[in-house]
Amino acid sequence: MQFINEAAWDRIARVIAGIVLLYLGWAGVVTGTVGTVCKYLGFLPLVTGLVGWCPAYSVFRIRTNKAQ
Amino acid sequence: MTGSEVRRRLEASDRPVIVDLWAPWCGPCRATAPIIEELQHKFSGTVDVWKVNTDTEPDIAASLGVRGIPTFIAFRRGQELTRLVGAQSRSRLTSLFEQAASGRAAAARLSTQDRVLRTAAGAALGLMAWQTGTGILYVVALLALVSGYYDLFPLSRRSPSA
Repeated sequence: MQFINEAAWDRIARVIAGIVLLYLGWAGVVTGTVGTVCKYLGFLPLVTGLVGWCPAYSVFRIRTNKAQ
Repeated sequence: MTGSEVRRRLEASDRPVIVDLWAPWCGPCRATAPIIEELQHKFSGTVDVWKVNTDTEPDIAASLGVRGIPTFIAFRRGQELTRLVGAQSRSRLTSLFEQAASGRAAAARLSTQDRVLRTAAGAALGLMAWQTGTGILYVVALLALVSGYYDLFPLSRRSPSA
């Protein structure tokens, strides 16, 4: 699909990064302000990785996958 | 046959047509050929398949705006519905034939990669939710799991257009 602008490796990396950030925040590994940031910032790479579309890529016309 | 003759024949065709543009030296074309043959048999009487050798009939390829092969173009009453360029998976080619047969947009089909990624993410989030006791993570885990299989649910299939 044309709207997907992330390659497989990009999506996997984002999902892993998101899960790690969420774990750091919600499991209490990182506390305080940084922990709070991790708690909510983690959703961003997770969701963009699962969907396959990055709004920032779209704005700057970047794609890590091959255009269809 | 010239490009304009092909267009005339496509418009005159009672049945939808998949035009398969290929060449003998094209590896992906040869790899896809068995799938096309199988689908041609499966959709026999519903969708016609026209194979165009781009080496012997370059005019037709040019008239259809084809720059790379294999290219599969679905036509219905002479109107191009969609085209696929390059080697394709069985599921994408099946969608192409279904779209040609029905004339409606192909139902969204998730790739295996998508399903695996969403299932794994859902499982990891579910485990994390269970360990941390966080409600929102349960919700996100459920959403991730559902998103991996939504295209299989009857509700997600659109009704045929008039």
